[in-house]
Amino acid sequence: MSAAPRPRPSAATLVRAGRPVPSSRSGRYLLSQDQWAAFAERLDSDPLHLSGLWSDGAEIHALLLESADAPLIASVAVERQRFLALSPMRASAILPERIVRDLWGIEAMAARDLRPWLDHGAWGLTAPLAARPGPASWPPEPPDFLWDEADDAAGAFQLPIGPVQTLTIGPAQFRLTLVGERIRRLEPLLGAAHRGIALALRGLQPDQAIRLVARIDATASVAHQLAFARAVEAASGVQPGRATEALRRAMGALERMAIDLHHLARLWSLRGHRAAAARAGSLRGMLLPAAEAAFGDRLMMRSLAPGGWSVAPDKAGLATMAATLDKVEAGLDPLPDDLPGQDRLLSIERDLVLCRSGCDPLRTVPEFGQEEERPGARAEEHSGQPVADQEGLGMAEAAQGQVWHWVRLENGVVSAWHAVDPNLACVAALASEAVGLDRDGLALLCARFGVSVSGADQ
Amino acid sequence: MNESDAAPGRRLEVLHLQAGGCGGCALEFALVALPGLGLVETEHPRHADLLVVSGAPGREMMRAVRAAWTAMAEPKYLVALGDCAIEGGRFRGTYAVEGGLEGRLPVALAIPGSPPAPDAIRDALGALVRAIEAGATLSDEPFRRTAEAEAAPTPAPGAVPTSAPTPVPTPVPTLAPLALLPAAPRHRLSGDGSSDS
Repeated sequence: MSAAPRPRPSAATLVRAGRPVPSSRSGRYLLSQDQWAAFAERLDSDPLHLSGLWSDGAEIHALLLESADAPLIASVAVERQRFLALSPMRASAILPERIVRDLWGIEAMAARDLRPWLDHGAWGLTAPLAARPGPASWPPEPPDFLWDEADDAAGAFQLPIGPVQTLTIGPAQFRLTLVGERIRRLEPLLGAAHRGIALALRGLQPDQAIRLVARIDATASVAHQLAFARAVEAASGVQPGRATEALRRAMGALERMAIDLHHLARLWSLRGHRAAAARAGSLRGMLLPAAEAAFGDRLMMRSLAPGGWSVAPDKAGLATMAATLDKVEAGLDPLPDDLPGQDRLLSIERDLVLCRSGCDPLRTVPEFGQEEERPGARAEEHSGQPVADQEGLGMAEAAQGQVWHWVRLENGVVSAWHAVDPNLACVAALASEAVGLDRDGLALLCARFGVSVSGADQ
Repeated sequence: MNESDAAPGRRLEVLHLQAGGCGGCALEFALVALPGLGLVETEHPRHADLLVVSGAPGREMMRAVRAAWTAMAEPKYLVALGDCAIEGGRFRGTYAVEGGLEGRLPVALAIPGSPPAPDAIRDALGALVRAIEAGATLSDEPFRRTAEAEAAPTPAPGAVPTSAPTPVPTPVPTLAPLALLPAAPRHRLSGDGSSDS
């Protein structure tokens, strides 16, 4: 009897066999083409989570999660504008590969789908992030949606939705393939809300860049700012103080609560629970002024900065936060248990606790108030030793899930950047969950998912 | 919202079109109780009296905004909600976003802010509704931004934010009847969707 075959190395082991990138403080490994091919093949049966895939022009990077807070980046050099696709093994790579092609003109070999996703021919150029963008053809070609013989045989027909009637998730297009009124296939097509943020960030100092990062997605503004700030801090080795960290976590929780309430209000209003929807709306209406009093503005887009604050939180505003949170908690109590969206209610309850403890740094962190008095400290650290090339990775929780930012700083300015936003995966999930529903069911599904096109498109 | 909310008599129907941007204006707009203003939401351009556009419309999305606007029956009113919808905001001049509605479509009401607070939106829309109901003298004066909007910094094309953020003014635009600009009947849209006045 032959010996049992040796167990195959895990995908993470294959990644770590690559060359560690010294400038990266985030566990990035540069794989050779052969190593990448072995890693790609291994992904078909390895549980390693593929969270994002992007390019910086010279290399392709894949963000892998061994667990929720153990990231690992695998990179491979782009050769002749091509790299070996991961989508045959992982469906979650399909949309990122389409985006890489639209933004950089870099094609994934053997990809499952390479139709345009962001670029619908209206930009006046192709591959806008590439060193030499290409020309665009005019007029733009209409988007190409799937249709096969089985659809014919089933007597299906197609119905376009959006970008004007968008089931209120934002500027998206849906192509429904319907049999009768049931959805046989849903193909989303995004890109209408793309703003070219990756290009706009290039060459900006982190303190300036974070103001634009705050505008990626209003439903995850704090999460994006935090993830970006943490990525920059990881790259430059700056540690924020404990009070700052506690307050930032509170801001994240405050934002998640407000957004969860927003989604609940929409979901309940669609399901006909008018009173509950109005209550969710009014509770959010209480949170936002409290956010303004403590952190400067209602959507908290202005106060965060890498390493600290651009505008320090207002102590008087923070002091009134507890009372507001009590009111919100009391307002959640009389809601009936049979409402949909219980998962969001649970996370609101969790975030209430987080926010309450984080907003009370006077008690929990004795040195609170001291760090704001030396705002120049961090600037000195920066100007002291501008290091040539540093990379960092940062994560923050949004209402939709984890937001990851990867940033490369050269001489103190952003030279390459990518954000992995959970909404892109939500859009893909929407397509698979919608099968078998009718149009009203799809509207409910959109409300339940709470997808934000702004976050997915950037 | 559905029709049962409506008081007897016809309410003005509003189509809210999020044309891009970060979605902040849409979040604030969701807190405005439209029935209290005599408005009811619709999904269909052909039913709509008011088209509320929020967010920076991308080059592609601008075509969709024009299509929606063209599909609306007259009389119709266009509301630009927030700085991005008005002139492109922070995204103006990128390869994906050219600018806002200003100068492209006949905007009846511009609500500046990034994003404007719900109170500001409510007051501005309320003033518009009252002006429409009173049969305001509609003129073909060119689109005017409110004094508050003029005071706000306007980034140059291609500019990126360079300074610390300015505090958001959440002004209530003073809506003179003159600022109302109907599409009907002189402001026909030409082939490329621009007003050919």
